[in-house]
Amino acid sequence: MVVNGHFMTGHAGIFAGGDCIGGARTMTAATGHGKRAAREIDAYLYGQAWEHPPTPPLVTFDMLHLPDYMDATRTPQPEQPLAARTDFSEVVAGFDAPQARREAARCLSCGNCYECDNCFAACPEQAITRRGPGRGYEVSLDLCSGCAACAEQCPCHAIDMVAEPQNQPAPVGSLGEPLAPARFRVRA
Amino acid sequence: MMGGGMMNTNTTQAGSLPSAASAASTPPGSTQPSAADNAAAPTSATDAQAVTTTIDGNTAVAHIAYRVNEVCAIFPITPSSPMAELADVWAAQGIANLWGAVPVVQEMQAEGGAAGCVHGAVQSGALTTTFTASQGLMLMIPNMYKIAGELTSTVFHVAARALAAGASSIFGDHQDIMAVRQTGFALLGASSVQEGHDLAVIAQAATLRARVPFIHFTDGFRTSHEYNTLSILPDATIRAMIDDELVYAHRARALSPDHPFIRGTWQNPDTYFQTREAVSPYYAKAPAIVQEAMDRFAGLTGRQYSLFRYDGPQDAEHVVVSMGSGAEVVRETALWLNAQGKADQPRLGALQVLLYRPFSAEHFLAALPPGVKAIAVLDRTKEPGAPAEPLLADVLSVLAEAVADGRLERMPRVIGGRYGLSSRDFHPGMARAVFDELARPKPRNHFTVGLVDDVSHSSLDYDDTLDIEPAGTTRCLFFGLGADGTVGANKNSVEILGNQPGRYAQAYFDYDSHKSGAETASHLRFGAAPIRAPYLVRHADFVACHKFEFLFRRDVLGAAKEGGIFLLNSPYGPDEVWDRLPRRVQEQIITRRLSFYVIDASAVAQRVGLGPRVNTILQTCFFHLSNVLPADEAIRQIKAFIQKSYGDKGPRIVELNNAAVDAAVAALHAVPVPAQATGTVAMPPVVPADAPAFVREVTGEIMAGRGDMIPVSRMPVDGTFPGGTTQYEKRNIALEVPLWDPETCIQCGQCSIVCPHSVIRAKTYEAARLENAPGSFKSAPVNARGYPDSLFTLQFYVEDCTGCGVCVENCPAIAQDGQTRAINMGEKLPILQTERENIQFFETIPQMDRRRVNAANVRGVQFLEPLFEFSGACGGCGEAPYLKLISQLFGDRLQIANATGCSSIFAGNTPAHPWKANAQGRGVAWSNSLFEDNAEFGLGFRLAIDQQTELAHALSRKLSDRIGQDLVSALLDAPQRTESEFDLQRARVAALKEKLAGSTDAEAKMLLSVADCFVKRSVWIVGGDGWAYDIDYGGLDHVLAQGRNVNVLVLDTEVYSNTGGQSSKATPIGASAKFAAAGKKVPRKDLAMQAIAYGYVYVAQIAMGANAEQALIALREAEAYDGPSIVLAYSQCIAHGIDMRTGMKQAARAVASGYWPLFRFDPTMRRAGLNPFRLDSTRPRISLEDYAYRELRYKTLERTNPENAAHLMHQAQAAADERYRMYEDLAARDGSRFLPHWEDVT
Repeated sequence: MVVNGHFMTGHAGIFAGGDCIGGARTMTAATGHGKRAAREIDAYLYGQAWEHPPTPPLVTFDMLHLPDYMDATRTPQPEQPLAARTDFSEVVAGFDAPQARREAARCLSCGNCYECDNCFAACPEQAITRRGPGRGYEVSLDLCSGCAACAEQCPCHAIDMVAEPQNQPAPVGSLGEPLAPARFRVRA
Repeated sequence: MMGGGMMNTNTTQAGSLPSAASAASTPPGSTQPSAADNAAAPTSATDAQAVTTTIDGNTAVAHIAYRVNEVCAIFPITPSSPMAELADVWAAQGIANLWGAVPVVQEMQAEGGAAGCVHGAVQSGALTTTFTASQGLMLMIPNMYKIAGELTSTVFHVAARALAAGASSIFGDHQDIMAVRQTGFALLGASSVQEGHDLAVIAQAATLRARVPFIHFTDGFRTSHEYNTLSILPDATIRAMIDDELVYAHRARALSPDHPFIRGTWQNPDTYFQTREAVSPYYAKAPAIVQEAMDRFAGLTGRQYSLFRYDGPQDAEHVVVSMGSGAEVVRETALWLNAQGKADQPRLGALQVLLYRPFSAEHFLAALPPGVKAIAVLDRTKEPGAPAEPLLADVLSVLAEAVADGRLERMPRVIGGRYGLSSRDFHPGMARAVFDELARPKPRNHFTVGLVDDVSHSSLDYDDTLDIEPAGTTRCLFFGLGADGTVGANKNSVEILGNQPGRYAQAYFDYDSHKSGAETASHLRFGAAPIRAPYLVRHADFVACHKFEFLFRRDVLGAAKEGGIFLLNSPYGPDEVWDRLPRRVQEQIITRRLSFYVIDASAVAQRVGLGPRVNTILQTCFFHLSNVLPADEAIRQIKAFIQKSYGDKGPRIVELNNAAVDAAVAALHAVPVPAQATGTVAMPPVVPADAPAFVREVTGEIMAGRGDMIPVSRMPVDGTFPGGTTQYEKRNIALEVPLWDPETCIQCGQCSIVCPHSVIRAKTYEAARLENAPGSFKSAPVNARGYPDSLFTLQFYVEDCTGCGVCVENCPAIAQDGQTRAINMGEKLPILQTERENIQFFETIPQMDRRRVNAANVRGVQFLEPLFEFSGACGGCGEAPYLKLISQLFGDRLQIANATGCSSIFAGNTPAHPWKANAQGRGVAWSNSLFEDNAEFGLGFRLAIDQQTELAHALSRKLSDRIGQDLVSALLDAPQRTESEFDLQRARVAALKEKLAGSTDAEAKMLLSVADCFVKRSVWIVGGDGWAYDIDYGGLDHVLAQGRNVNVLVLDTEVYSNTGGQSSKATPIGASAKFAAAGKKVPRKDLAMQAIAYGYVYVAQIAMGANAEQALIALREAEAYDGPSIVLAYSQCIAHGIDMRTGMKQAARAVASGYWPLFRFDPTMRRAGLNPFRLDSTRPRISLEDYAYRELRYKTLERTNPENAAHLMHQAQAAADERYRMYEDLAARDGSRFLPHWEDVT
């Protein structure tokens, strides 16, 4: 089947993906098509076109602040011995559930916060509050001094230091020095 | 008016704690008693009546010194500091001297400065004094020659103390006195508190007449800190002793433009000699002048002194000559032995030298009994290599001259010996050993007494049990913990009893040198006659043990007398306690037929809300059991003291203490004592059986309180000790310890970084290791992604924990309940055994590989092994976390020069040494030279290392063919910044050593001797503000200026913490401190700005409690900077009068108020064209008051003098604001507006 850039077939409102849109596709690609198509459908129904959000800058290994480096080698999958590979049965046996979990746990989650709470702990100004599981953190800018202690310890580099927004310049003193933060809080 | 009541109720607590231990007697978090709070006011000059009271030696001396002087130039040094503190307090109170003026009390930057100031003041006509000891007196020597050479009247009051040699010591002997006997000062020594008081005025009278300057000394601690009942001289008597005509003459000799002259000239071979000889007649006349003053004094008081006091029959054949408090022991022993009247025993005499310089041969010979056949001379000093110790040499020379010129018929046999160094107890058994030795056919010469010398075989055997004290003296021994108030309560008890008409009391406090949580033994005596027993209690009628654990560590009942009373503070009640006692204690109770009582004073204190303060409860029990006072009277007196001691802390504290008194007796229980010991609890070994031999034989013996008995052969000959011995101490001082909740923990490291005692250890390890873990061992998955096989454990070393709670306060992980955290304080006893097993297991998990730890943030640093652990620092100490941090960051290549101060005591106090090596055998090389030379000492390290590194480089180039060119190039050029690089370099050094192993040529052997220098060494110069701002400021400045790669860490408590909290130039305006009782009048010195002025010094100001990450960065940058660095570290201290548990929060407030800005000045930034000055903290967000008035050092002044306090606070706020603005200005500058590094200018 032929689809346009929005995974829509020639028939408006009919979307397609996976093997049927041609080429030797894998299951992974098909899953991705489904996800993408769902967004397109959602946008279509709202009368909009979906646009791919800008890709966040790549977080590389040297940008992480891991507390320490432990070895976690790839989980080996059981394989058929060479001699036994005589038919079309699978050579690689795949993971069992614990193995699969372990393999997934090797991910360093580069750039993606997983709420370890260590930014909250590292903040000397108590400017970071926890919003509860899955809801991330809030940074109170009238407490934040911009010291970057949070960013410099973030194991997955989910925090970036950014300049103060230009449209609302921070109050400065006669020498151009920042006057914020205004508040002070000791650790609870 | 000197009403008896006033002296009686106001004197005994006056600033008389020993310095290293003064902190110990102050509970963390309680208000800090200072001399200012408790000092006795000397009373006005119209008093005519002598008053009997009970005070310590320092107070007794200072009372006189203050009144007969106009200028006091002071500097703190143990054990003399209380004299200076009292002078400062009295001046702050506006109390006048004999002439109606308030003396000016001027703190100086060092004792050398104090002596210079004295010199200037006496040369300008003022009656001037100073108070010092030991190293301080040594620093005064140059000026002492001048003052004496110019025949200037002054009295220095010295609490005589040991000198730093193979080891330093704050305790008493005569080494300092003997080190100044050649200066031309007269030396007048007292043997008791009363004598110290009396001779102080006699010295003053004599110096004015003789023009020879005087040192008047008491024995440090033994007399300076002994409380004893004495008769205080009425002012009229002091007045009568001082002849104003002589004062006028002193003034007339002073420098004045109105009758100018030149003094202090430089002379040449033609005249210098005569100038020296010209003073001789003054020294010839001085002894008679002193005796005349003594006689006049006797006329006024009835107490007759003489230059040489002889006690004993005139037909005595054997005489022992001695000086200071030891003379009282000799005297009492001689009289007792004579009274025993054994037929075969020769008659004995005791001769005390009071005026040691000028030494009057004539008076000495006259004082000796005519038929003396044998003399033993006791020196409380050591002069290595001398043919005789000084007093012995003097006696020998006087006798020999007298025999030679016919004044003496024949030469008696004379032997000499040493005793009592560093306050080694000198008791009648030892004095008897000396008399016994004299009676032998061939007495040993140059003997020692009081130790076991199995090397030179000098020591005499002695009887440790001899009891010569008169019947009717009640002797008591109390074992307490520094912070529990035992010492304070005992001081009160002595005061209560000493003030009863016709009663006499004595108290002496034997401290160990832990800064807090020290074991203190209080030795108290009460009697109907004056107590002349300047030695420890060995036959106690009453023994109280205020902490149950002591029973397992010390021989608490070793001194209990048969039929005595034993009071135990025990968590176990009367029914249960017996079986909990070590078997040996049971046996002692039975065989000595002790009456045994228990009280759970800690529970009573908790119940009434007094926390750890068990003092008043146990004091009440003491009075109840000992019957030294009628019960009602005792309770009334205790409550009066509570009002006095705690009245200024508010009515609630008073009520709590009164409630504790009322609850005490009800909680006291007699324990039925079985006929037979049935215990199964053995005394555990002090150190584990598998500890190294030295630790078992020396360290462990010292920890067990048996250090006295370690023979000379076991001691290192040169003061070298193994590090890492605190791990064997297991002090177990905390009742409550932190407990870990792995569920709530976020593994952030915030607890570990603030722990002063390194008791919080974190490891990440392979989950498989848990296989053999004890069931109670806790762990959690790593709280970060990417660690599928690892677990995290936070292990608390509960036996080493002080229970300060700083970790809990700093724990951000508050649980769902909003109350508990990831760590919470909980009772230790129930978990002790399982935690021991857990720790044992935890230690089987290997330390984390330094190459794999991220040392750049707080979370990572928790995985670095601290090589500074379990120190004797106070609970909540603000200094120790920084030391621990540098040990984690640089420990395996760290060499530390440590200035004398708290950090030298809790690091260097034998036998518990916290600096240690890691499993690879690399660790911290630590040394303490002095207080006044530490920067120079550290620079010496650097120069030596640099020089040897240069040599290693040159030789390796030369031998590159044999070593291999590649290896040499790598050794010379490989970077050394990261742990991996250090590891590689060490491997290269090992390869080099292997290549050259077995070489016999000089160059190869020489290279091997310096090969370790290929690894970059981290030289740190560590000290407090007293060191950096004051006494070694000149040296520090010089060292920073040299451009060498040294790192200076200033542990800035803003006071002299070690000596008990005296003001330094770091003390802020508006704060009160000892020596600044009326509040500091000028702002603190900005040492950072002074260092910044060089332009090429890395400078940082940090405060762990405000921003631990910034502190970490600064310390790493300082270390990495290839040049001089200085880091000023805000260190909260018990001297601030805060709850140490919340000390880190107080540090945060110091920063938030703008008082302690955080910043870094990094010259390398300048090199990159950037601004080297980076301000790391924000503009003030709270007022200075909001920070300061949470601390007693500020609050005290607000309470005592609100107007002055408000004024000073106003000025302090202005100073802080202005300073912050100045830093802002620096931070906002363009990088080019800083000095370039001179090396960058081409």
